[in-house]
Amino acid sequence: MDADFLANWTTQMRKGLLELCVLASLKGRRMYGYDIVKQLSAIDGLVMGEGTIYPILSRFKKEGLVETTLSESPEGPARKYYQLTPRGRVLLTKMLKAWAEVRDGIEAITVAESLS
Amino acid sequence: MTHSPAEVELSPEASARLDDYLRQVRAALAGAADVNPDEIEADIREHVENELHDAPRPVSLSALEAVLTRLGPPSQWGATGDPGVINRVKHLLRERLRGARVTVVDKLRIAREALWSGPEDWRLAYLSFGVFALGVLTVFVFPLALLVSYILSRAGLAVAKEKGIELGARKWLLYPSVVLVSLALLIALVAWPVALGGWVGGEVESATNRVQFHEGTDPVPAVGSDWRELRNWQDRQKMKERLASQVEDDRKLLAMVPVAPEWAPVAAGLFVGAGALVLWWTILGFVSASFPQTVRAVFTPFCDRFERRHGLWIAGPCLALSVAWCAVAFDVVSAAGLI
Repeated sequence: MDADFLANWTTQMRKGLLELCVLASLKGRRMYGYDIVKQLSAIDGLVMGEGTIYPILSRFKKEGLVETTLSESPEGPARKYYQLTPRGRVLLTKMLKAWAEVRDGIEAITVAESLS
Repeated sequence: MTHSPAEVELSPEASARLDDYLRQVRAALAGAADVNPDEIEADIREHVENELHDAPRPVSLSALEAVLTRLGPPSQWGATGDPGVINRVKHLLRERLRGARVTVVDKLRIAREALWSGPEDWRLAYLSFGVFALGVLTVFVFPLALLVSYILSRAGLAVAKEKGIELGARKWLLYPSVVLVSLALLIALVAWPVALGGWVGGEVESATNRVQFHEGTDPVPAVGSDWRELRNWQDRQKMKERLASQVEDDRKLLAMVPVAPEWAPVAAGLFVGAGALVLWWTILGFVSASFPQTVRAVFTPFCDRFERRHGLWIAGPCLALSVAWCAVAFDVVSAAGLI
């Protein structure tokens, strides 16, 4: 029962955070899709399957939060790079602010608990 | 450090496994309307090629399996979080229907543009006349061809009217079926009481024949006549007995027609036909005066100037004639003692 609840809760939390992290990884730069996957996969407990990131990127592209550009690569065929659109940048700012509020709130509760 | 994707040489087992995995990817994303499955499949293929860039060739199944394991099961990728089979099927059906609708709308738009612009103005006229000619030549499909040709002609006339196009020579292509149908409709609508007069005339003629037969002299065949003549005479007598009551009614009917018996059928037919005609035309006149736009619509382009007053022109005299006819009919029936 507890294990099931934890698994479900972890999945839900991870899903939301992964979307935030995908956008955050593109903040101020453009990145090759494969590199985004590798970067986020390196964060412990965040990515359960590397393949989950590609649908997120595709959805963000359809929603106009990111855009892609093809750039020639010296090592072979052209690569597809992702970067934030103005709308994506605005949304990322709001998401980071919301995340910071939640994080600070949780920390405040846990710190108060540990002090009491 | 990443590598540019390139075609990776896979062992047959690994190649089959990758194909199967990509099939799972497509199936898992079929219901997700918010992603582009083709793009994701290309991304996955590129990811695999990047991962296996340094692997020994041909890439073994185990090496590929390790990459696919890290990618995770596609069934958990549903971008909307709802990768159920039913939802995917519904999505696919919706997509197909949308595609079919777009196709139909496009075709209709193209057809409409073709019919509404340039020399295609002639197309309906040619089509109408072609169908009409086909009906005339084949005879047995003429009613259907006439109907189709009439509809096409009406469409052609409507298009010309809406676009303000002078019909010119096109009327020779458009009018045949319109004239024929309008004429048939007009005759059926206006002249059916004549048929009633004809039927009454026929009935009176039968009555006259029965009375003359019943009253005619028919002497008994002489003794020693042929036995067949005797039998025919007996048959005629039996027939007269059977018709006795009917003949009484016939006499009353003929008594109402104050002309010589040989003229009775014509007189009765004309009288009843004329009466029905003026009564019906009175009704038609008032109805057409009340709904002139219907008359114009049904009999376009021949009655495009029909107005309420035209209906009243028909209804007025016919009403007067109807009153006169009713008065005469009343006298006739009274004289016959039926009232």
